[in-house]
Amino acid sequence: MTSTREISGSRLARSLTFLTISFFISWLAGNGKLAKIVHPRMNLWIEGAGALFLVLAFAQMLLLSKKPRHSDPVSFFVPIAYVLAITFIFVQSNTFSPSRFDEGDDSVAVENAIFSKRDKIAAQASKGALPSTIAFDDDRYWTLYNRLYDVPSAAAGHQVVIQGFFHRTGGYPADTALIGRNLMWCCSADMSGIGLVARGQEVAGFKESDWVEASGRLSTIEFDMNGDGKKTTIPLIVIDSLKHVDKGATSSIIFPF
Amino acid sequence: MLSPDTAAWLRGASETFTTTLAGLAFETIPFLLMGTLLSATIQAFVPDQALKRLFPKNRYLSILVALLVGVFIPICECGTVPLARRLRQKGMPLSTAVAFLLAAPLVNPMTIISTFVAFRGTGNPVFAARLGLGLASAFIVALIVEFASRNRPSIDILGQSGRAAKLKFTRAEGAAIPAPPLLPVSSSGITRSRPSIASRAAATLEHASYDFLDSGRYLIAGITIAAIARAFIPTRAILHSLGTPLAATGTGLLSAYILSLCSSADAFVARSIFAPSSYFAVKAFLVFGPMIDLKNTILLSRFVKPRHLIAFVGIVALVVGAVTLSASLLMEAL
Repeated sequence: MTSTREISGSRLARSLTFLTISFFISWLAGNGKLAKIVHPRMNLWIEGAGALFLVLAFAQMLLLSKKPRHSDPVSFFVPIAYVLAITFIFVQSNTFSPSRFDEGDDSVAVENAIFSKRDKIAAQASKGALPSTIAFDDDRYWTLYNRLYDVPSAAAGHQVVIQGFFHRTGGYPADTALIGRNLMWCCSADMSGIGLVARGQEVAGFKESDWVEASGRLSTIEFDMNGDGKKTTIPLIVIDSLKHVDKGATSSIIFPF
Repeated sequence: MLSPDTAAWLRGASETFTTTLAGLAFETIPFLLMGTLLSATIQAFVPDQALKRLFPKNRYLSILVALLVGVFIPICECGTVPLARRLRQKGMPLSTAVAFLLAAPLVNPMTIISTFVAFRGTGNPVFAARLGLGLASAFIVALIVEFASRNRPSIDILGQSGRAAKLKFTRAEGAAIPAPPLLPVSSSGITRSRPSIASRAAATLEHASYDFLDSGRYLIAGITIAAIARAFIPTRAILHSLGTPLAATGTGLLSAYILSLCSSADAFVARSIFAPSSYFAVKAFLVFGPMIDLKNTILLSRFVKPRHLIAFVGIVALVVGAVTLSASLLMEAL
């Protein structure tokens, strides 16, 4: 005869699963890694879900001695463990997502529609008045990126400083690399890399996904970005200096709105 | 040994897989949880009759109401599946539940606002087109479902028959605390007192726990397949044929289905990969994606016979393709 005080394995598994999800979300939110997965405007939803998982876990704990008439199959729990494991690997890695959606010339057309009013005013005010040294900081990264790709020659001759991932594909010339950041609209599934092509002998000493700072003079180049034989005029950094830098608190992701 | 190119390609594919899987999982799981909680709350707290009073008795008017109900339940497409199933279990006609399933993510205020923002300044009223064409497509599909299922109750894409009927037993048995009857009547016919709020709340949490774990594994399978597709099918292979309106529409439908993006953010992606080359593709992508995609197909496969599911996805694709293509051609002609 089964004791009514016997602990239900299914309930224990449910409870531990919900607790694990809740703690995992807390861990992601607490150390800022949530921003690698979803846009900050989604934080409230995710953290709210984390709290609800905690409630579900406690509800299952309260019913621990009430055994369900059918045990939950293992397939209820394995997928959750697998998703958490993959997510853990992802947030711990240094992933640059080049050209996920940035597959054609049209991508450059994603521009002013999403600028805030403040950004628009700032962008208009700076038309024709780019500073002699252009620094790609977080707040202006997306604005500057569009401005330079819209009219690559507009900033030719200016000095530029940019931090980001080092990226090279097999199709790039030996002295050429892309220095870029990830752009996220909503979550990492729609993330794509944006950045500037840099040229110089210095690129030989770096490997994929290194976090670097490049400085140099802006020029233009006819470049086959996608390896499909179509060349377009894009901005180019003629490298003066390329070095490893401590990423510190710098976000690898740009959120355009 | 792998060549450097192959190794680099594999590395890129595996990174794309983990990046996509993590993003889709954390974007959809909160909405699935909210969907299952809302569904369980309706089960425990809302009497069948009260729900039925919300919808007109006339089937066509009921479909029209269902198209707009989603405005008040702002959740994405993953959360609408358990809710639509609950409406069906509460006795709503299949066509009404299908109309809700297809339209709710489109009339979600977050979807409308994000589409407006993404296409602001393009001179193309994409958000209005998305809303109008989406509601028209959902209405047509609901009508098709209404006529197809009227004399064939075995057709039920929300799982009240066939395979799902067997699952109902498991579901009811799996719960330690069954949902309390909302209009409790004893065997003698004398109405008993209503169950307490606490027992209903406990039943809500119990059902939500079970439903979340049950549906979650299918959602995760769908997300995994979508992530594999994203990792191994180059986007440019999908985007290669935007040449003719028909090809562009097909490309939009296929991309929306495979990419399985959240309806609250897909407008930005559509803008970046299709516009301004092809607004045919943009409209098909934005209308079809929230209605049904790869991850939701796998989620529905839990409850629906494969042939019914394939037919349903095919009908939605055909209707959305025809509606968006016709509207785009008409707009171009004008």
